[in-house]
Amino acid sequence: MVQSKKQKYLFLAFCLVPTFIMFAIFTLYPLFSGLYYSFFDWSGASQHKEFVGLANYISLLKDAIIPDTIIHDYFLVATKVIGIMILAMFFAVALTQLKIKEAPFYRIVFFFPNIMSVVVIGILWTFIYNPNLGLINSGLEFLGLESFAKPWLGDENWALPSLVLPSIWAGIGLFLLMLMGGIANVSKSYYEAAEIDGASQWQQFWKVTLPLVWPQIKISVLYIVITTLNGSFIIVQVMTGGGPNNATHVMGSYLYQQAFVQYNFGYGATIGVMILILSLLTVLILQFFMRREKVEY
Amino acid sequence: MKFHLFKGIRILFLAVFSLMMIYPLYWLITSAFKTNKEFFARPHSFPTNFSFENFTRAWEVADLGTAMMNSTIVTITATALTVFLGALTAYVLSRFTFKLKAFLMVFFLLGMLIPIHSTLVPLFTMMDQIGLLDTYWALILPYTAFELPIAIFLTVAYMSSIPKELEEAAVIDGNGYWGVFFRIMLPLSVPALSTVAILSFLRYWNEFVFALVFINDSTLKTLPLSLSIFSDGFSTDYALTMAAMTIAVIPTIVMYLIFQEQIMKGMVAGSVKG
Repeated sequence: MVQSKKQKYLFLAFCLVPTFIMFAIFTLYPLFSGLYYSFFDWSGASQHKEFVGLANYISLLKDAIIPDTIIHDYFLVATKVIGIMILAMFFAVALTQLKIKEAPFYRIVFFFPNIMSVVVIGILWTFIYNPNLGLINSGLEFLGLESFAKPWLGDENWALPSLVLPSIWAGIGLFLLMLMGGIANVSKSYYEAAEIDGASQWQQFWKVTLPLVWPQIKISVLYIVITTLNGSFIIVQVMTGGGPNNATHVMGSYLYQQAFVQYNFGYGATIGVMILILSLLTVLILQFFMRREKVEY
Repeated sequence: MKFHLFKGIRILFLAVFSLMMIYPLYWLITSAFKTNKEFFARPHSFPTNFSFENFTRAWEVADLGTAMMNSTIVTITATALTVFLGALTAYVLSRFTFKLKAFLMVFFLLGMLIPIHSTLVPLFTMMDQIGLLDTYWALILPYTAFELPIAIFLTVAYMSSIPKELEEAAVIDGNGYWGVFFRIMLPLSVPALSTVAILSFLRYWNEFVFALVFINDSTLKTLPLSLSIFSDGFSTDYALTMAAMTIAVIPTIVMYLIFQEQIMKGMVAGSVKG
């Protein structure tokens, strides 16, 4: 290179510093200032901040709604991971193995909800769950199962499970694509060899497909977990607002309510710290359980 | 024989499921053309006559023109910023060796794990102090910051696969770092960068949480925020709500249908390399 070391470092700095600063200010710094605010009693609006030590954390432990919000969040995480991964895997294998010419059409259809705002998805599904004219109750009636029809989102026991269906509907396309990418990368010769050895399709799936697309499965599961812990708030806010009777509050919606509706900023920040710790722990634990020797045949 | 039956069942399942995937969308768009009376009488039938009245009314009631404008400004600025900063950073991380490189990679990687909720209260406070609340920047800057890690990783993966000889040739031709970046790396990375651009565009256009917390001024509301009033206030006026949502969805549908090949390729490439 003709250019001097100084020029190189000047160029590096020019490229990296804006990104670094922006990233540090808007994602990293808030984590630390959030921790700081969690030690104060503060309404957000006034200048007056009172240092209260660990009082917010003590209220957090005593708050009866908090354990519910955590359970609700992990209920959504678990049902979404299971629902999306099974369906996406089934369709990914079907679309790559069946070699049907409509495959691109199916991909386009399955990915469609991914381009819509969760707000639109939420309102649309509120209508679908509408007790009188929504698709679900109409469909049950059509099948002669009127007795199962209920005001889904207004029912304390059914409101939370009702949020799972729209989330799976909205999420499946992305993971279908990721898994199809993984399967397309598996060499055909493995399947041919398995065929010669007399392996059934089922065995081929467990012995060839699953181990070889494990990296994509792992990324997909982690991604679903992170985006659910990060995004369940929107669907809750739009579809139920946390109700009925707090039956659908998740950590994010409870934080929003505490900080931006009731102006308990200090307590809101405390919930934020809890969310950070729980998500990082979850990711770490998942990483540990999903680690596998890289398979190469 | 058994094999064919199995295949048939799978195709049937695929067809039924894709119908379930597309039906809500069909319902959304057809209902938007109905009157409320017709919607209540026959919610799932095809509209008997197409009326555009809901669209004009939704446009006025929810001030969708302003919202569309705000969403466009925020989305385009943030997307441009994401692509430009992402490309610069990815170029440096994929082509140069320097002391802090490994640290920076981990630093950006960890960024993907930060939950947005944990940053809401502190970001609100910070923006309040520096007067950013209720401005376009209150959305543009955090959007970009949170999207940059993904943009950087997709682009680094792609740039690493570009042969070094091309740059060496450009250097011999007398290009400096900027010349190499603008004349070689940027044009060659267009496939990765357009994937980044499309994904960022979709994410920013649809984003709700930051907009909900950082924007209070009704003249600055973005589309998802304007639509959210329909989640309670107007929920009995179904046809109006459906029309408002259709208006909001159309730009992304058009974009999706134009770029779907690119989106599919980008997602698949991203998943294999990531």
